[in-house]
Amino acid sequence: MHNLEKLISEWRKSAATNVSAETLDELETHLRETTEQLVRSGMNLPDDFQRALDDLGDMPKIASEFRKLDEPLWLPVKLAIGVTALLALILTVFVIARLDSSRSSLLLAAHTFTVTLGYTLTLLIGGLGICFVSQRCVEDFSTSRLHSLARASLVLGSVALFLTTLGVLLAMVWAKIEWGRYWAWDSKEIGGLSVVFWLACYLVAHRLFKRSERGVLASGSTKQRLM
Amino acid sequence: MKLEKELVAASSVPLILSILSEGDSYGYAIIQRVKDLSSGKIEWTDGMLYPVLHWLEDRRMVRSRWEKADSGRKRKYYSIQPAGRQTLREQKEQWMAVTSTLNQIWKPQHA
Repeated sequence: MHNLEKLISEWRKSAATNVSAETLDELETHLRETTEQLVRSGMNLPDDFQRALDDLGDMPKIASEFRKLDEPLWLPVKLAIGVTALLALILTVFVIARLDSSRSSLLLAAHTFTVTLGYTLTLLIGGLGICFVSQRCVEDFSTSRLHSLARASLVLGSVALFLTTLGVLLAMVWAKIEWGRYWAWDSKEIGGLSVVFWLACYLVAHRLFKRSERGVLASGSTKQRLM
Repeated sequence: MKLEKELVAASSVPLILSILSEGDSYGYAIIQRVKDLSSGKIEWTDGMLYPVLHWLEDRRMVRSRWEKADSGRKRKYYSIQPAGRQTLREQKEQWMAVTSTLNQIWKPQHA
């Protein structure tokens, strides 16, 4: 079997750039099984291995099938990510420029940064929902596009929930220092809490309707209307 | 007689899900099972099975795990999930409808 190891190693080197390491491991197992089966039938190893390779098929073709699984991001999702990254950059510059060294100023700056990004992401998820419903009036989405879209909205929703929750918590600490209490039930606090609550509901809906990406994305547009 | 490429492609998902509904399996064994069941009429390019398995896994119809076989070799086993069983039920109904329609058209005519 020493020669088989050499043949496999050479095959791995030539195929490594086409697919992920895990997929390569899986295909290697397949090649070994096929080769060993052929060896048992009495042929010689190099020929057996070549036949196993022929049965496996062209690596570029297999790799191209795997690439089809990676659906490219939908344009509105790319835009949402771009807008968030740009806003994060602008906010960073803005916050640093206005920062002084006091503890409460740092807290307020961090609160402004996180909560603004969290709210913006929440609005963008709603925007994605609207884009989704609008496009569906014209043409349907492929299953893989739906899947990639649902995954993107889940990631964006999770990041939005994390940032908004952090922003609200930072505001509470700031309020304790400045006003002597954590919570005052003012409109901004209630607004922030509502967004946190809504995002939590959105993620629960994602979990409940994970087999129905359409329902989840449509709930994004409902949220936009509610906001 | 070999089946046409389009028909082989269309039947790949119900075939894989049906085999996995009998029990967990891995790529090589799935291909052998298909060859045995179809008496060699359905011929897949071995490597093309794996993108389909990964596609099914991506859609949570199957789940995979690496396991050491008795031979000491590590194999990636696939098991069917509730979403896969649901898809299999739906596909079964559709294929049965097609089969039954064709059978009615092609049944021997009794004059």
